[in-house]
Amino acid sequence: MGQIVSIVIVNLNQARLTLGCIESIVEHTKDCAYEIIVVDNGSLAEEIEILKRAADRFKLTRLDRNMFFGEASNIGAEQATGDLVLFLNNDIKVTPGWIDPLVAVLENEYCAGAVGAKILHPNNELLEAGGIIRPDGWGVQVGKAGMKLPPGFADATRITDYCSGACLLMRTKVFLDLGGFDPIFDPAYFEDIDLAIHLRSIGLFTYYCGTSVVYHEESVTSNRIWSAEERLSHITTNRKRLMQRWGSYLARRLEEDLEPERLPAIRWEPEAASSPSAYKVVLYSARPLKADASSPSLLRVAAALQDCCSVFIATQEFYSRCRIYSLCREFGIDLKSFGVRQVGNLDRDACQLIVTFGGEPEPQLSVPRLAFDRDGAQLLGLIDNWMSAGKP
Amino acid sequence: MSEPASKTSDRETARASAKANLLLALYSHVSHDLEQTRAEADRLRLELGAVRGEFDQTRRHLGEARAEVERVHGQLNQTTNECDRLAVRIAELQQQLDALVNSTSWRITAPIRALTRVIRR
Repeated sequence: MGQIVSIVIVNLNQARLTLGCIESIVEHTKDCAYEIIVVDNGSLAEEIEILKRAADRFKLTRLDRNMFFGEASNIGAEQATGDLVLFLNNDIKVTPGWIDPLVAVLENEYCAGAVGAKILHPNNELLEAGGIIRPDGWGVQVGKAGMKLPPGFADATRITDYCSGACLLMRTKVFLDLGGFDPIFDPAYFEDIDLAIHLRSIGLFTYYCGTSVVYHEESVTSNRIWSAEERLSHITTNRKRLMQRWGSYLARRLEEDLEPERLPAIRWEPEAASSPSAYKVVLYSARPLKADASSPSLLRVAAALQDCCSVFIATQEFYSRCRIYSLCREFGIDLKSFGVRQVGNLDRDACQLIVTFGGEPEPQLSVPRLAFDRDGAQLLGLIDNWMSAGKP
Repeated sequence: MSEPASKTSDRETARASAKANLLLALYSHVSHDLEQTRAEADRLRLELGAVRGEFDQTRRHLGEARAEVERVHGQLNQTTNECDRLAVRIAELQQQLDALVNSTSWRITAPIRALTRVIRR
């Protein structure tokens, strides 16, 4: 098998667990080319030091704060050099021969969009032999808690509704083209189910591969960072979001011959900075970019400017391009060409105008500035002029 | 452009297989749920039996306690009646005593009683 698998692992203050996961990968991944990308969700310095002890085994991306599983995974996937990307929870231990069957299923099975492994608890109890989605949106991990299955069901390779993001292999391009794990499910839960239905909507299937086995402790991170009430609240909110998007399909698909409706497609384009002569505009937001009312204005301005300038979105946080594309899809904004940077990593020399959104502290750049809320009319005038002239 | 016939048939096969797998897994899930609900119902039935047993026992204890209270109450009534009867009797005797002490004959015979006491010594 010639393809490189980029294994993306998200870590938050569990360096030892993560290293254990990586050790198991190194030990049990023999005939497959792979790279490991660890995305750290803002761990303490001492935890980072522990991680660095094995730094030769993986690429480390450090985020300043917890961006949660979905966004951290998107960031990891965007750094993948492999054609295939495999998301793996850091409380997983893989077993001999785990990866080849997964890759084989993705390569050989009909319209395979994603594939997941058999997940066992360290005490050998079955935790997941694929997942199904009930008409009310709840995901069911097949075989969990002693569920009796038809003979051979847990050992077969078969199409399933979804596989959890604990161990999920996809083609990198397919993952990115879908916009990755959707930020409307921040901070967590149901993003893997959404992704699988999303795959199905473009004609690809999620497969369960019963011959690839991994061990999983389950919810080690989420149990630590959230109380039971908080978890329940995220779960309740996100199930509602899932049902808003796919509820009609899920409710009717058992009776009817139905496929989920496609969401608006994302059209990935390379960053616009390729032409050095392009007029570069930075749109800066001190607020997090998320699926709420504070983000659309920045994204709309970015879309309006994209044809006549190089647009860079600058934020306090490190964001994936997946996130921006997904948010634009959510808000119905057609933004294709842009760069996204953490404000500290902006190329300070090559920027001609900064537009700030929300009046929060601005990046210290000595270039002309407009505040969108104060100088919106002026900005619109500028854009109109640029559009009619074809350039700034 | 429509897909060639073989692709369409592959897709139909995959979709049919997906649906069959979904139905099988849903069946397992619902059976499992049913089994768990049954087990829960059995557990609740047992618990209900135990609670009923406790309830019966408590009711029996309550009956016994009630009988005891009634018995004690009866005794108390009897005792009260006896007290009342004795009080009446005491009053009667007191009256008789008063009448006797205040009677003329009692006073006349007082020296004789005094003399009798001296002689006895």
